[in-house]
Amino acid sequence: MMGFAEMTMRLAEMGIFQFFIPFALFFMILYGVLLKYKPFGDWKDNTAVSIIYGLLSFLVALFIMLYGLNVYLENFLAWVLGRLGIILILILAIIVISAFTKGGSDLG
Amino acid sequence: MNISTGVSQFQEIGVFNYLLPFSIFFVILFGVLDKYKIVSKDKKVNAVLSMLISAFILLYARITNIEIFFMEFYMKMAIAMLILLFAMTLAVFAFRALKENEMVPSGKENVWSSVMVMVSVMIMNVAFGEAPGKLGVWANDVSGIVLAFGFIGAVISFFTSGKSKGGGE
Repeated sequence: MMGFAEMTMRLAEMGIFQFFIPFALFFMILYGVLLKYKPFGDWKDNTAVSIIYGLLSFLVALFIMLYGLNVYLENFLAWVLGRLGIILILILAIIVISAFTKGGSDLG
Repeated sequence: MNISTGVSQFQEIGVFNYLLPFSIFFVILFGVLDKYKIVSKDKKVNAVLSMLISAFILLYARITNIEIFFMEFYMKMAIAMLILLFAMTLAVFAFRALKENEMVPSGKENVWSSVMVMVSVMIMNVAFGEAPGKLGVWANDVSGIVLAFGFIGAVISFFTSGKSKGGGE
């Protein structure tokens, strides 16, 4: 039976973390930013413009895959995103403790 | 066969050096022409014009290795966007959580938000401080620039809010 560790290794061997996830991450960020700031006009009633946004994000994000061919990208992303996740958890803990203390002082 | 083999084969047949730069330039040019109607209101005219102009990218790509430029440029752009995204996420998350719990004094939202921006970009700078590889060195430099801009923004926000508060009182 395949465990999570082995499954992660398999995915890494296939290149999911090195190619696909950086590609998808950049595609989604770029697509979201383009849809929000609308550099080529409003996309809601215009199919051609929404296709332009999607296509442009897709084509640009493909270059991230090429970068992954030359540089060990998964190592960098794992390191940075892992650290950021921990920071986010720490901030949540600070907020929870602050809210708890505030709640306590309100009761008094 | 994994993704690496597929990307290598695409690179060998010139997808990254010819097809993608041509397509990106075509889409951007078509989008601009279609939005501002500089030449014509007809989409077909704009499309043909964009295609003819973009065709020269193919020739340019033949004499220069344009894929290297695009690869470096978009990768660094991606990291810069990632840094900004996380800086904003941290600032918004911390500020909204404190505000919704009524822990931000009323009338001092600007000061608190500027402090949150400052703290989040400092955290980002620390997070990228020892990132591995040459990409890590570059990410550290970018987060330093973001830190500088965050500091300037925080100072401006602080003084702006101080003036409006004093004037009101």
